[in-house]
Amino acid sequence: MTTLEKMARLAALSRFDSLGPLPGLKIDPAKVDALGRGTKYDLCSSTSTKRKVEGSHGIGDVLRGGLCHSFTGNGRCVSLFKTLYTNACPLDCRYCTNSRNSRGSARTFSYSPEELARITVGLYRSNRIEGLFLSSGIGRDENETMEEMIETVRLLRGIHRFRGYVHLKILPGSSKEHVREAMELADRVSVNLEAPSKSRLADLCPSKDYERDILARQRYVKELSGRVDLPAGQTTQMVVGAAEESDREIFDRLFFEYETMNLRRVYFSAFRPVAGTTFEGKEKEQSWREHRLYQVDWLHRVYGLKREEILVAFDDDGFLRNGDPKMAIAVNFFDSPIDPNSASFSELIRVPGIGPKSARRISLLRKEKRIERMRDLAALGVVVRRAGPFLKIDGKCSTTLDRWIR
Amino acid sequence: MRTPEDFVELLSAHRDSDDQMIERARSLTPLEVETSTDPEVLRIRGMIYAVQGEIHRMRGFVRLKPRGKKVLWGRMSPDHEIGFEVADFLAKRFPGTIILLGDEWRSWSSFRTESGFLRSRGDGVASALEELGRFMDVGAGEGKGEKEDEMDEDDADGGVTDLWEVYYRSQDEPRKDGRRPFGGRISRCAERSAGMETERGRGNKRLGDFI
Repeated sequence: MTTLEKMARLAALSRFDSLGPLPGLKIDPAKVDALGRGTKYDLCSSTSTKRKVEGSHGIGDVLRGGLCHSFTGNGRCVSLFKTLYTNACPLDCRYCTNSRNSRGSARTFSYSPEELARITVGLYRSNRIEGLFLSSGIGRDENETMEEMIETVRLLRGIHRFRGYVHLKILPGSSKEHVREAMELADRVSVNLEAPSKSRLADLCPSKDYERDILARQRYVKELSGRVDLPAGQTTQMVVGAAEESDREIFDRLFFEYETMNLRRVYFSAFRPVAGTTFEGKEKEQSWREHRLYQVDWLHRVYGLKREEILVAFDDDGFLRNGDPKMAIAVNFFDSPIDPNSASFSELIRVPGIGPKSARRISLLRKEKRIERMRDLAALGVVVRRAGPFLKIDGKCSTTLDRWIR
Repeated sequence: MRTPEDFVELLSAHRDSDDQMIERARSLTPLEVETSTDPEVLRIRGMIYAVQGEIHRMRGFVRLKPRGKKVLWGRMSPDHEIGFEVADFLAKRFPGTIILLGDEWRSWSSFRTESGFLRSRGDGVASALEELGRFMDVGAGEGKGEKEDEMDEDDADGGVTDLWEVYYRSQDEPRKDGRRPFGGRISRCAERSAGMETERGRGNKRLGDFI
């Protein structure tokens, strides 16, 4: 323990100030609201990065795992200051409130780089955000807007010595030089796919070219990744249910993105009609569909299941049922219940109710002693109710699969 | 594995831990804590996770306000003895700044130096701020004089609270019937403990909203 007097003496010698940088800066609340609202459906829950901030050369410390600073009413995590740079956009995306055809975007706003940098630091210093997520409408020109977005991050990193997390959106059609600059400054960059194929995108946004505006930019990021360090990698996002696409189409695209484009994450957002847009009369997509796609994504990315194995979870029309896809895969995979005392790790993780963590615990425990009861598995974090039909201990099953199959 | 090397320290921070339990924990390895099916070790594991969970929550949910140019303070009233864990984390994040956390009765201050953290324990935030005021100018930052105490919070933090309220509401979607606040992911107790004023008042309509 030390005294507050000593702390006060040392703090007085420091060049850093604790004061939020906002005094003297008048910000129109309508602007913060409109530009914040424009990113409501953008997803960025994870701040996973390998970057480590050492020493006292700036404010900010990046955690490996995500840190939620708040949750909205329906449980979505608020970890970053998600905002548009401008909501002016000449594109005609039919689901978007900022598109030129939308009646909802009568008033357009734009930040200046300095203004946005100061707001970010102010919110960061009050510990309300973990970093910045900066997206934008196209504005007058994609390269001009991209330049200003990059300037914002340049100010944050340079003048404000901000070492926290930054996620930058690459605008469709941005130049390769801008992509490189964005990658040098940000922790993560992303280009939104919005749809799984060229024809589906044409239904959503006729003025965007899938190959030239989007995939080409993803390839730039992939090419530059060898030379520029991008700690949290490249991600993308798709709107689910707006273009009548099937889950299978989304899954095929997801697989391509991970395998060919080396993406770190693919996010999904179930379509919700927004008043004033061309699609305002269209029916909203069920949120469970988004959830099931995330489960499939998890099975591929975290569990390492092969594509062919996961395809079992899709029905003949290419849609996922509203049930756990892991259960459908397990029913197909296992001919008979397995004994956790002798099953391999890859068998264990295919059992519903057993994840990688509990599978690892089982592998470690059985080196010390035999698993004799289901209760032992429960103590290791296994969801016994779900795993039970697939397991037998000493030749005995506690429950059968029949209860799961209707 | 979730159990860290220093798990005994985490266990000691739990409000229900006792000497006998800590002694038992000293005889265990992190791997044993993680994989044991012994009910006593399961209880120890649960307590370690509870402390880890509260540290994680408080790191995210505590709201900081500036006091003068060199102090950031926030309200925190944790169930477990985790004050310095959170204060150190924030002191590392904001170099050159004294981090002061606590409530009416307890306070934890931390300041990061090149060689480590300086820490001080006090009897409440108000008294710690008063004490700091004797050694440094905590009320003269950015044109604010000695009467900072009389200003409301929004003025004191340069409008950040107002800005956050606008932004937070912009991210909200209409709540689904029957859903608990925050999708049940933050307890009322944790909100109160971390002083999350905006989030606690979420959904409250203001007069301006009707005009």
